[in-house]
Amino acid sequence: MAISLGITGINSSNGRLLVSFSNNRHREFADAAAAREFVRNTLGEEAAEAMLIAVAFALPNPATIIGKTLTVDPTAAANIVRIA
Amino acid sequence: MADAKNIILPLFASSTSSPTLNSLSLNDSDNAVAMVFQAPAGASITITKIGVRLTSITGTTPTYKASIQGVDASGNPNGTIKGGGSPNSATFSPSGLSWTAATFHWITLDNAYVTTPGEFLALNVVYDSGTVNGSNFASFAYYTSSLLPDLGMQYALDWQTAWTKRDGVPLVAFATSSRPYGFPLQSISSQTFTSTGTNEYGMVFTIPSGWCSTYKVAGVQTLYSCPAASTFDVNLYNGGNAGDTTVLQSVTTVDGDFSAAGNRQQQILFTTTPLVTLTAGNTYRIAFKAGGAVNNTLYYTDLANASDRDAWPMQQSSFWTSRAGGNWTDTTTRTAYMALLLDDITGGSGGGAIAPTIVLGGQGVSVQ
Repeated sequence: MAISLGITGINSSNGRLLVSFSNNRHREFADAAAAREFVRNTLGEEAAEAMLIAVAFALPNPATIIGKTLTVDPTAAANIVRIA
Repeated sequence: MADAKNIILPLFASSTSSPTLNSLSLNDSDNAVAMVFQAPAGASITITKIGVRLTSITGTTPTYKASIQGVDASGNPNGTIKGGGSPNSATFSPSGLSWTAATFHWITLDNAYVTTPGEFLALNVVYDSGTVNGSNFASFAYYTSSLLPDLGMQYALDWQTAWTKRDGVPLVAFATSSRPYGFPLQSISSQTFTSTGTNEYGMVFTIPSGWCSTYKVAGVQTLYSCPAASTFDVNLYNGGNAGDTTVLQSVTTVDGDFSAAGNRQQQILFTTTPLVTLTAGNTYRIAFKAGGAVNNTLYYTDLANASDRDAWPMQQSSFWTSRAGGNWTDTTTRTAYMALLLDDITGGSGGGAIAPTIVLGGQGVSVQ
């Protein structure tokens, strides 16, 4: 099963946040904090491990992911997800 | 003293964090959203209206059809509109009706549908006629995440190339001539406030007379983002008039006494001793008051009509209220995700304790 997904829009209206995806779906949040919370609730340790594996296999040389750290911090002003 | 048996009375739906509304663009001839649900138990009802929540419009929308269908063996809409030659459906064009984004609307069926108690039905929304493409379409919300626990037996689906069932609470909404059912939700949002200006937000509530004679409120549970490095108060007020500002009991929080600041179910107990005895049938307010310059956030849902509140717990007896130190301003189409922790329930012509019951539209209560 292939999942190929992009963001087609991010819109704010009256404080609400609407994120639109290339699969014709949209997610609407009460505010940016709620969107961060959605990321936090979804991206637990298991999902974070899956994300790292996905990123590794997307690299020309998967071994270059070794030693990199994935950080998920929905309280951050920017960069909720960072790989460094 | 009568044991309340740890009863938590919801004034609206519960939510573990601010709900997410999920929508699908119906931008071709067969994309569809559907919600599978059971008709209310105990007696037949006559469904006269279906509710849809428009998320956005791109260009000029075509005409769509909303219908009541049966459910096949796979749990998908079976494609057969109920009613035969007198179909239980209706067509509508959001552009033609001048609908605006993020709004909920009732659509009157061409023919009303009489349910069989407990039968499985599907509300289906799909393209019907006119120009539809990537530049001319509408998006509709069909389920929400976080609002209540996920319902396995009632669910939403979408069709793009096949039916896909979704985890979450289906935004199914239908109505008889006398009341709504399901989740007629218009929008989700939040109110951020400090000690400046309108600094106090909460809910009006009235426990019906007959449920009990008297009760106490030990605390409150709600979806709230607490201020970091700042306190806030929770106050219980007597009365439901605009000028009723007498505090019956209260609690002042201490900096940092929560696990995480943002967007959580927070449970807060009053420190007033003894708790005040309240009377069933009387109206009260419970409100959060910011204590400083740091943001507090109370999450809420807006409804299109005050009468839509009748689909939710406590119906129109509970709603949003706010003030900036003076009189209260009530908003009957708005509600927080709030619940009361009850204590010492006594008496009542119903003859028993309040007990929680899960009903369509959220957590409800019944008097046993």
